[in-house]
Amino acid sequence: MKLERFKVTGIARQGVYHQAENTPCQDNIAYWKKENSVCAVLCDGAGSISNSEYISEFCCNSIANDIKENIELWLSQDNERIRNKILELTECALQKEGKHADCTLLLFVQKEDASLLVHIGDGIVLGVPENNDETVILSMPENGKDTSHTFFLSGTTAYDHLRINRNINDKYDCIILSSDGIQNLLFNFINHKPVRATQIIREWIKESEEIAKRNLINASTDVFEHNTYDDIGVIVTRR
Amino acid sequence: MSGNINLQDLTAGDIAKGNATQLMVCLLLDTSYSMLVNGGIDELNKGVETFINQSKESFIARDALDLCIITFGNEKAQVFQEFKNIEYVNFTPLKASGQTYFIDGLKLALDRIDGRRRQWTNTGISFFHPLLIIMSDGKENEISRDNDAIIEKLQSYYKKHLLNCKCIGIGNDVAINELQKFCQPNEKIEKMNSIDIYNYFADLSKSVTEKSAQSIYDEQ
Repeated sequence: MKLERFKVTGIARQGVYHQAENTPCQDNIAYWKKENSVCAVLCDGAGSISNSEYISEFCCNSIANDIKENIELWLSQDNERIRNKILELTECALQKEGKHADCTLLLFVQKEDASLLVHIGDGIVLGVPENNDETVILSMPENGKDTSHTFFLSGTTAYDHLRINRNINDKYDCIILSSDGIQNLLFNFINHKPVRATQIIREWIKESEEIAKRNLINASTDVFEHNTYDDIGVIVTRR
Repeated sequence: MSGNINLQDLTAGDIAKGNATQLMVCLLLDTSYSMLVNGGIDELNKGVETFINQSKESFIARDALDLCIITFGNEKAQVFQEFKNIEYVNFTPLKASGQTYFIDGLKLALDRIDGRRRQWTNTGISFFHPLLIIMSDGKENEISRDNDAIIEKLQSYYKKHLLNCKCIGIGNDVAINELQKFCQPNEKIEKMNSIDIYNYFADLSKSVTEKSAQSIYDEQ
């Protein structure tokens, strides 16, 4: 039996506030893996703009699909082209809906040893190391002057706020992408220390995708939903 | 640690807490002698107490609201309550006496707001624009003393979106024109009778809850 190199799973669940208001979940996730590659995309629609859940879903899926078709290109082209490609796909989503809407983006893709991390807005990307070293933030939430504000894919400054990192250190064998709903639960921003939850999630995905998914759902119900009112979107990869 | 982990188990002790987007509210309250007229100080006490209690009961506000109370009266402006999460605020009724040390109180309020902002910025804590609520029945001669520098500072804060302010004049004799200089551009002073103060604070706790929930809805 061939050893599977990559694992990936995730959840996107309507938060308690959206449940109470009977409004849709704004978080969307898309992910896939192949023998030598993995891709994870998470978008969070702007809650203040109606229809953002559609833009979030469309951007998420179209970016994940495009990477599936053209992964070599995504990993080899320069930052300017990557930014333009993402904005082009966003524009397609907006035209399809015919309405103004917006979302954030967290994207991680890897093929063999080449990796790419793209992020705009809030949410967090964490790297959990394979030894007992501390979890680190690979990409911080980016907010505006008032830190409850953030940046979106179709904003006028989107190009400037699309942050790109390449070739993430292999020692972080587990990558966690989280929307802003639980970013504050997975990292302690007050003392800038990681929390045990990330190591536990790493153990889950190390075991299997099924266990990780099931336990993430349970953790959402039993723990996360008691500590956040927002939607819960998270993807975990093991590489 | 891998060998010790129960794969089923992620508990509340494994996550970070107290990281909700914070909202700092600073109450700048007139406790001068004139607040005894028409039971103003009693209404103020009832209102602030209601605001604190209702906020403590709101599961959203409880996580997010950070309250500071500055008073001006009783011979000086003073910090009655340093910024603290609402859950840990214990309120004892204010007493009214002495003159109106409005400008000193405002300086203290901005000093505490700046300090809290620095602290949160340095530690990466998310926060909304701070909200300063001014309540005074001050007369012109009490408010207009040496106020040019502080008005300039306040207006620069508004211009830079560093502060939101609600300015409330209490009673019929309040110096509306003078107090207006401390308001945000395009904001009018709200004029209240003593009896309205209680209702204002009751509504404030609801709006604080709504504001805190905006971190979910209103990200733009």
